[in-house]
Amino acid sequence: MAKNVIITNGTGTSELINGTYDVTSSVTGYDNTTINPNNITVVEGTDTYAFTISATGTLTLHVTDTGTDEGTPIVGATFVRTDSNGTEYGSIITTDATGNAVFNNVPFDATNAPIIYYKQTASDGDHEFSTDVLNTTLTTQTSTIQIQNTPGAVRTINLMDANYTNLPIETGTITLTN
Amino acid sequence: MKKIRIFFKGLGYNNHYQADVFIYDNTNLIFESKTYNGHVNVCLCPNKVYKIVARSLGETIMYHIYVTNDKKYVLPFKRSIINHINNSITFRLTDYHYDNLPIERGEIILWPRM
Repeated sequence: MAKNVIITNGTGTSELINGTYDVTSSVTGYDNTTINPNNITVVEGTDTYAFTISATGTLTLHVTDTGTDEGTPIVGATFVRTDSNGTEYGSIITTDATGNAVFNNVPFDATNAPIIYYKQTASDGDHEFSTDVLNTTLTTQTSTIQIQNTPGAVRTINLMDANYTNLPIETGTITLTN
Repeated sequence: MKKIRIFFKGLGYNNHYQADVFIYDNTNLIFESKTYNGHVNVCLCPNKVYKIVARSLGETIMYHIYVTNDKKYVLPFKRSIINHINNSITFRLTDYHYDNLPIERGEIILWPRM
């Protein structure tokens, strides 16, 4: 008789006697043929067993100054997948010359897709960005999300002579590096 | 023919596990079934000897029973099954491509090899 273990937030528990078991899975949004390992031997003294599973969806983040397809692409913006708490997982992805960054192997489902969390970690140095944890669900295997990085606000820089109050410096350059 | 019930001891808590049961009259297989709630019901001739073979979780037992007026017979699996301890096992399921990213919801199904 099969034993079903409910997984919530990556963990499930069950009482099980020692022995060898074949393993299958039922995870919406993922390819259940990729459950790994597909068999385990439960032995005395070992009470935790780890599995992985893969998904096949593709999520493209298109970053522009307007947040629309027609906006100026932002190159070099970086993103990473997270959980709902903002803990980061996996490699950072970076927007290319077209403003696109791609998360491969993400889950999707037409009706009950898992939530995908992610956040932006950098822009191109000339645009503002939000560090909030964002989320989406994929109802199709490929999907594109538009993200806006607004241009930096216009700031006024004043340079005065330190020894003559408010005497403006006629010419010069100030370099700001972040 | 007389309807009898054969119980098998050692099939786990609440008879969670099943056994494959084979009953022979001499060398003839006359009955084959899986247990339900730890037992099988079968019609046998009284005053006759039958060979009972049962298999569960990789272990096979064999008994001969002489059918009398009793309607219930209890046959134990070996102590190795009776003494199995149900361990509380933790299972972790994460995304293969994003190290340690927990899978929010799903099921792992474990099929014991008999």
